[in-house]
Amino acid sequence: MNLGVVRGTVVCEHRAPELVERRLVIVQPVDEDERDAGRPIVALDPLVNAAEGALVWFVSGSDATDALPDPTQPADAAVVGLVSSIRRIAG
Amino acid sequence: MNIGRVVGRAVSTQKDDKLIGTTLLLVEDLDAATGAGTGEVAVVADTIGAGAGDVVLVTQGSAARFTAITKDRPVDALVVGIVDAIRVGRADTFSRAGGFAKTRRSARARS
Repeated sequence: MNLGVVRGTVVCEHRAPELVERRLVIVQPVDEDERDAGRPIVALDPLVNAAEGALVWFVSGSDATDALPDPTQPADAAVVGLVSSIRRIAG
Repeated sequence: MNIGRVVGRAVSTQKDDKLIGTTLLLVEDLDAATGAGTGEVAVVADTIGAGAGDVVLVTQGSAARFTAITKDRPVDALVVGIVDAIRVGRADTFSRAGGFAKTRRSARARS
């Protein structure tokens, strides 16, 4: 799983019929200090309806489909939760 | 998924029989937020009829096989949508009719 910040939305009407989730969001991966880490990706957001600016966690690769109500969609990234806070554990 | 632009088509006369019926496109990877090209071009299977210049949504890896047409086929990148619009913050950064906002601005600057 990865942390990310929702930056925007993508609208795609003409699509593979198996891709049934409507909401597509642009997610900028970030590190634990919320600094950009890598290039933005597009993820399905069927669960939490994350607003722009929201800190989320997402899964990528074939694991993403396990997060979807219909797990046989051709998607390689999905938002799976909102992050309310991050706390470092002193080590 | 990633955003990309269709820049060409790969024609293959000898290919795995399981790939018959799918189109192979050349897709340049774009930054999803800005539309800037990354210079990376990949061969991506298409079953929904994307054409040259279209901005498309690409699924990679084994999830690319999760459609009726690509099931059990040797495909690891698939066009799953043709992008109509991208919105970042309060700005519409892309529309299918007008392209990316940056491109529109530069077009106005030239005229």
